[in-house]
Amino acid sequence: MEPEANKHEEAQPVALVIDDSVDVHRLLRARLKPEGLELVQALSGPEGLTLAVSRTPSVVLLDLDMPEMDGFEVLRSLKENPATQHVPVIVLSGLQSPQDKVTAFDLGAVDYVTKPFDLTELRVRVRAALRLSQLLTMLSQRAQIDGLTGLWNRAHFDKRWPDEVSGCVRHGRALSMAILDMDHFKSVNDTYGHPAGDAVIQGMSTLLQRECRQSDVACRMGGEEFAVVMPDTNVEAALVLCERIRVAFEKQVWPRHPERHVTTSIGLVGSSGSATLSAEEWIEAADQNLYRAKAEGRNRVVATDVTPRARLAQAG
Amino acid sequence: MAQPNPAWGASPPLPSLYANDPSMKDVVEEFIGDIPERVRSIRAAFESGNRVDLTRLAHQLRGAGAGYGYPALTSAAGALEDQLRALSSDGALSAVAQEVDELIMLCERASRGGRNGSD
Repeated sequence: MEPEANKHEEAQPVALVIDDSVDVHRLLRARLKPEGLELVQALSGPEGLTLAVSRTPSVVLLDLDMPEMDGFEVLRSLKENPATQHVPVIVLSGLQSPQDKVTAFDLGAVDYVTKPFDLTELRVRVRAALRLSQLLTMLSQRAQIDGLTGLWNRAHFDKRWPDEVSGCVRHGRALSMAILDMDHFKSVNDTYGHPAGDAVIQGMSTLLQRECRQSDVACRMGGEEFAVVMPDTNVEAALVLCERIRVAFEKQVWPRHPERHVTTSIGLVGSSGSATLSAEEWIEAADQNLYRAKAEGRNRVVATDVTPRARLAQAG
Repeated sequence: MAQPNPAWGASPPLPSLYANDPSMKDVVEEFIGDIPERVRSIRAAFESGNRVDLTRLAHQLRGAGAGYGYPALTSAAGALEDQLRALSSDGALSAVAQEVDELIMLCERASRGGRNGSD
């Protein structure tokens, strides 16, 4: 499993061009080719708004003077939609009045290029907008990455988990989620100091990154608590993974305190598809299993299969 | 006015500034291929008194001409667009006949410049 930040950096950036002139599309296709961009073309405002959501462009080049829906209206819609509001928009326009430029910038455009434009100049302006886009993406990802471990943090889990549950409910896909909490972690901190505690937390992070698959999402929820989201995984397969993590963690020898092993308790809830739990209910059920694992002696996995009419699966 | 002009045949072809730019070859050819249709549309809009269409066609050529390597087309289309926008709402299109002629002549020259290569 790798942080998703890397995936974004490798993808070919998409530039969405919204302009009713086929000439502009042609010329940009020729002139922006060396930039390694994938150009997506829209010949009207409504078509552009649809593509802005479905293609998640890194930059939008937007004409103002279009029939049906003008560029100002398109720009306003892009900035009002949370899915598109952070995409840098360069306005390409024949309208040259200062008021048009002020309006475009007030609505959120990052640049304004007047037609007929110099294509070499446009190219460097697109580059600048792409740099801005990359920085915004990086900032947004940093805000969702845990500083100590490099795993996704609670904010990312809160954002991602409801989508995963919706996918499970709507498309009947399998889904499992585990909450892990280290046993007696406070005494590690108290006995060996916080740097030793931090090393154990980092050790768990390394273990999760090694054991989880590319599709799994491992998060540090806070303190010594972690969560692992396992899309397209039923509870039986998730239980195998959780057991592997539990056993590997228990066996780990810590350089700062080789005499003291650390264990983890795990609450797991999974479904083979079409679960009827809400995202919150799912977390609550995993929490309850975690408490049971603690109450039954710690260093164990307690699992529940929430597939409709499924049998209860447990392991210890 | 704005009828086919026999004198065009004698005017020199107008090559694109990008005639020797390999990255522009295909799009300039596509543009040249579209010229007859554009000329027909401009003439039809002018002759039927359709000011909206004529303004839109001029606006498009003004924005695109220089991009394809024809700054003269951008200038001529810009002059036509400006004249059209300055016309009073009940003004007759005959007032822009000269600008229409000039634009169509440049289109024809560009078309021949593309077919014959740069001169």
